[in-house]
Amino acid sequence: MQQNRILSIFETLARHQVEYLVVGGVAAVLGGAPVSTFDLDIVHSTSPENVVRILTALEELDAWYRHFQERRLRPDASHLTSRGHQLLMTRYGPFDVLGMIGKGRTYFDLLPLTVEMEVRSGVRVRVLSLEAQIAVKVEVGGEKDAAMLPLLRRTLEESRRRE
Amino acid sequence: MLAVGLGDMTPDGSDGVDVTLIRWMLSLKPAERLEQLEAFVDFVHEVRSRNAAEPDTLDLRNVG
Repeated sequence: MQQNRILSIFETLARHQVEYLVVGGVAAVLGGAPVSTFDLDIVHSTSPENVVRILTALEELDAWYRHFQERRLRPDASHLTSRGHQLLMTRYGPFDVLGMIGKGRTYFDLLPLTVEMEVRSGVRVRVLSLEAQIAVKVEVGGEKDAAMLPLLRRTLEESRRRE
Repeated sequence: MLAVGLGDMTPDGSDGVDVTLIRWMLSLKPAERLEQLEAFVDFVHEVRSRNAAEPDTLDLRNVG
């Protein structure tokens, strides 16, 4: 059984200087929302330099496509340069590497909407803000996203009350 | 003595969101929030793993 170690994935990405930001359930948790999730979702920069870095990190993480359990198909540069969603399994658990989220929002579109957080001494990550998480979910409008909205909105309200 | 009615222990608001959990999460640092999530996920994996292993431990020779 693989242990889910989100922090270990963060550390690997930091070691390889990968440019990315955290979205999805882990971003919600880091923003203070009491949700649970089993995978880490990131949006990465699809610049050629960053694709090389993330490929090296994914190799170290022993990443392969979850859909093809038997074949152990691994992502390559063409996959990571695209805006598609790479749904991977790693030695530390499920890891989704996304070229975009919502209606075509890329790493560079989302970067100004992030906050930096320390997740371990010396390990800092960029996390999509609660406001932006809500905006993206409204934009997508799917059932799963709509279900999360009340919780994210209340977390944002409470968070602002504390400031 | 402070009287706490049952009404005070239900989630706030009409959206059914438990604000007490949100306040607890917000009282933690981001690293501590991540620890909580990882602890939860580890626990679920452990329970699933234990239960998935159960059929293998059954000795069918003694059944019936």
